[in-house]
Order: sequence, then C-alpha cells, then structure tokens
Amino acid sequence: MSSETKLGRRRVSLGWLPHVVGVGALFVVLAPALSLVATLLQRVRLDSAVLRALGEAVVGSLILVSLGLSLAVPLGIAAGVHVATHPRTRLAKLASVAIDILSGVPSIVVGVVAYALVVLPTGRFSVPAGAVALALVAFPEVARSTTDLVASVPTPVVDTALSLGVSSWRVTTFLLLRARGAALVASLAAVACRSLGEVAPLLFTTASGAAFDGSLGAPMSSLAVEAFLSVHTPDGGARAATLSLFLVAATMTIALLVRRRAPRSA
Amino acid sequence: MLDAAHLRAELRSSVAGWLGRASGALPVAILVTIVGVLASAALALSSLADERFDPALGRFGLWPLAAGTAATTLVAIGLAAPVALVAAVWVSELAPVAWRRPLASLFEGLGAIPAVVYGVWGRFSVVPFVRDHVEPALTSTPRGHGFGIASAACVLAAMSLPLIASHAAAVLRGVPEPLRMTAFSLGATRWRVVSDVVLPAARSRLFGAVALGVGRAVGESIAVAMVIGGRTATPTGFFDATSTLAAVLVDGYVDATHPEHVGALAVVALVLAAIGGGASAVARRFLSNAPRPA
Repeated sequence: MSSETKLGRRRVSLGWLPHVVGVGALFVVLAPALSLVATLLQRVRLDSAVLRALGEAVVGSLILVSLGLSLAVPLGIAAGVHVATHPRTRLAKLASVAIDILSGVPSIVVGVVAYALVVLPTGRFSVPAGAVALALVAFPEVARSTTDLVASVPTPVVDTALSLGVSSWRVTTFLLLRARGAALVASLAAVACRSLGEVAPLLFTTASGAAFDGSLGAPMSSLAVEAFLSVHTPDGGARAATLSLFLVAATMTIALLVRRRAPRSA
Repeated sequence: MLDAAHLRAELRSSVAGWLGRASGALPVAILVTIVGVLASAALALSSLADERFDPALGRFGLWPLAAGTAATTLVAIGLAAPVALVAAVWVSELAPVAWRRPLASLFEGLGAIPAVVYGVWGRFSVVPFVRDHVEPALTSTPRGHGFGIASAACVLAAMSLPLIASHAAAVLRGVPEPLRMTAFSLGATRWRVVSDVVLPAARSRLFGAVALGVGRAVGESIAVAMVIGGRTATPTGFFDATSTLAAVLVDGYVDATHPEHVGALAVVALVLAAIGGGASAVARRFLSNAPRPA
C-alpha cells in the first residue's frame, strides 16, 4: 500500500473527525434530558400532601386514558384496516390523507374543538369531555399504526387465504390483526403512553380539581394537567417536579418496553 | 341457489361492507367536524389585519402571534435539526455496532417524554439560566425575567432534538443494506459510504423527519406557554416576552367570552390545524416515498 501515500494518509489522519463531531452531537441531544432529570430530582419532595396529589392524579389519568382509548382503539383499528385493505378506492385514499392530517393537528386545537363540542353544550367540565378529546388525539395514531401493520402482512399470504374461500372479514380479524397482534398491542401501548402526557386536550375539558369521587360529570385531577397547573402556584414547585418525574419514569419505561415490538409508524 | 346459509353469508358480507365504508368515512368526518366547528366560530370575526392582539382593547391582529411562532420555531429547528441529523448519522452509521440499538432506543425514549415535563424543566431551569447568564451576556439592558422567545426556543429545541434524531435514525436504518455492501466492496471508506451512498438515498426521508419536527414545534402549546411569558405584544427582540399561535389558546380560550375574541382564537386554531396537518401530510409523503427495507 505504499502507492497510497499522501491521499491515503490524509484520509486516515482525518478519520477521527466524524467521530468527534458525532459524539459531540450525541451529547447535545442527550444533554437537555440529563439537565431535565437533574432539575426534577433536585425539586422532588415526597411528603404526604404531594403523594396524595400524585395518587389522585394517577387514578384520574388512568380513568381518562382508559376511557379515551376504549373509544379510539376500536374506531382507529377499523379505519386503519379499511385504509390498508382497500388501497385503491377513492374513500380509502381520502381517509388516508385525513388520517395523516389529523395526526398533525396540534392537540391544543383538539382541546378547543372538544370544548366547543362537549363542554359548551353541557355547561360544565367533565370526564367524558376529556375522554372524547383524548380519543380524538389518539384516533389518527391508532389508525395509522394499524394501517402500517396490516400493510406489512405479505400480499401472497392474504391472497392465498382469500383464494381458499376465507371471507374477507375472517382474513381481517384472524390473519391481519392476529398475525401482527403483538406489534399492535405494542403500538397501542405507545399511544396510551402519549395520552398519559397530554395536557392540551384536557385543559378545557376535564380541567382539574378534586380526586375522582365516583361521578364523571365533574372536573377531575390528572397527572399532566396537575403538573402544568402546579407550576403556576407559589408553592407548587415540588408537586410539579414530582408529578413530572413520575411522568418521565412512566413514559420512558413504556416506550423502552414496547420498542422491540412496535414497528416504526413513520 | 338461494338457501338460508347463502342468504346469511350475503347479509353478513354486506353488513361488513357497510361497516368498512363507515370506518373509512370516519377520519374524513372527524376532520370535517373539526374544521366546521372552528370555521363557524371564526365567522364572528371582522378583521385580523391588526398589528396588535389585545382582547381587552378588542383588537385581534394575528401578526404578533405569527411572529412569535415563526421566531421560536425557526430558532429551535435551526438549532436542533443539524445537530439531531449529525447525531443520527453517527449513531446509525459510524458508532460501534453494539451501541447503535441502545442509543436509538434512548432517542425514542427521550422523544416520548411529555411536553409538559419539558415545560416544567424550562420553567425551573431554562428561564433562570437565560435570565441570569444568557441575557446579561448578550444584551446591555436585560429585561430581568427570563421569559420570552429565547427560553421558548431553547425548550422547543430540547424537545425537537430526540424527536428528529429518532426519526432520522429510523430512516437511516431503512436504507437497504445491499447499497452499503456494494459501496464497501468497491473500496469506499466508511465515511464515503455515508456521504455518497446512504445520505443521498435517505435525503427525502430525512427531510420528512425534519418536517415532523417543524410540525410539532409549531403546534406545541403547553411547553411554550410555560416559558414564553404570555404577553401579546409584537416582539421586538430575542428576549422579549410574547406569545405564539398555540400558546395563546392555552391562556385565553376558556376566558374568551366576546364573540370576536372567540372568533379570533378559532382562526388561530384553524391556522394551527392547517400548518400542523400540512406538515404531517408532507412528512408522511416524504417518509414513505424512498427505498424501504427489503
């Protein structure tokens, strides 16, 4: 390799540069998160008042997310399957574009619409209003990941089943959804994780307030909203930090757990 | 022959067909409902061509808010996108192979941290830092509170970094392996493979990853509302407290009683929906039109 002399040596001598730049960029990406965790840990306080607020907020969030997803999941899966199994019809193309647009509509806009649709006519903040808003945010995400999953089942498998006389309904439920069942559950968990951290859809719908007391027709405390509102109160710093740290732990755990199974929705 | 079983099967398939069509129509119906609700509220508005947004005075110009959104988004994405892309290239192409998956997972984990948490962090740490260190260093007359465009842009950049990086890393992973193999077998160095083969193959999809970041930054309401100061005057400097299209909805929607005020906020929501939805549709188009993993 003596003929490579000058050019070759220069190339080798600059070989470290991309690595230095790359590691530097990696550090910049990770630094805000490190600072974030450090800041929260500094301010966390686990006294009884904060823990009670945390407990109430967790219960409220679980209720809201499960109600919201029980609306969004069946409808989202149905829409996603329709788009994936009728790729050439005009309706499916229109639906696909609508899903893409909906998934980009900021959640604050959804909150405003849910406020106008549910809170203004009924005259009060309520749990169902928040559930509707969360469902509107989650619906396009569920539909989109369903479409991607169903489309990833190889066409020959589907064609074989259809040619053997299996009805299209059976193909959908048994072949398409069950073949990708684990991945579907994983992407639903990711959607649930995102719903858990949403403030904007809930701020004008379920708002904030006391713990869940068995009635759905009243405002209710939930994790992300409580964290948002606590920051604005003079002595709410510790509460905001504790709730935030809980949110970070919960969402990152879910995200890392489901990552292996979930396909990229991009 | 029309026996009962045949009839039943026929009925079932036609019911399934109708259900299928209804589920296909649902996303369109939701979109139309959202636009319809906002548009009907927006009709109350007489004029948006005001240079101030001040509900108390009955003035509802959108320019200050649009300026706030443009400034925060441009600065945040301008800072975050290049760094995130470089980090993604390093993690998925140049890093030691054993590090690649864990680091990509870490990007996704960080991308899943809710916006409100970034807002809390911004309030507790970015705002004081900007107030005590950045602003005194860069201006002669510091405003002394730290809330404003600079803080909001920092928080948005922090949120966009892992988001863009995780999508970009996924895009790079999707570049077919045979392309790299061919280039290596022709004697290209690792760096030349990245710069001459992988990046050109992934270019449009990387653009899609950045477009996703832009859409998210424009529509981010909660985290921005927590650090931007909530004033609705036109910003004149980088450290001015102001508001954005999304943040003004957080502060003002429930309090809005005057029909013109509600109308102005509905227009703001429509604009946001158009930008966010457009960015998402564009991103989806770019992300899906290039070589996929075989």
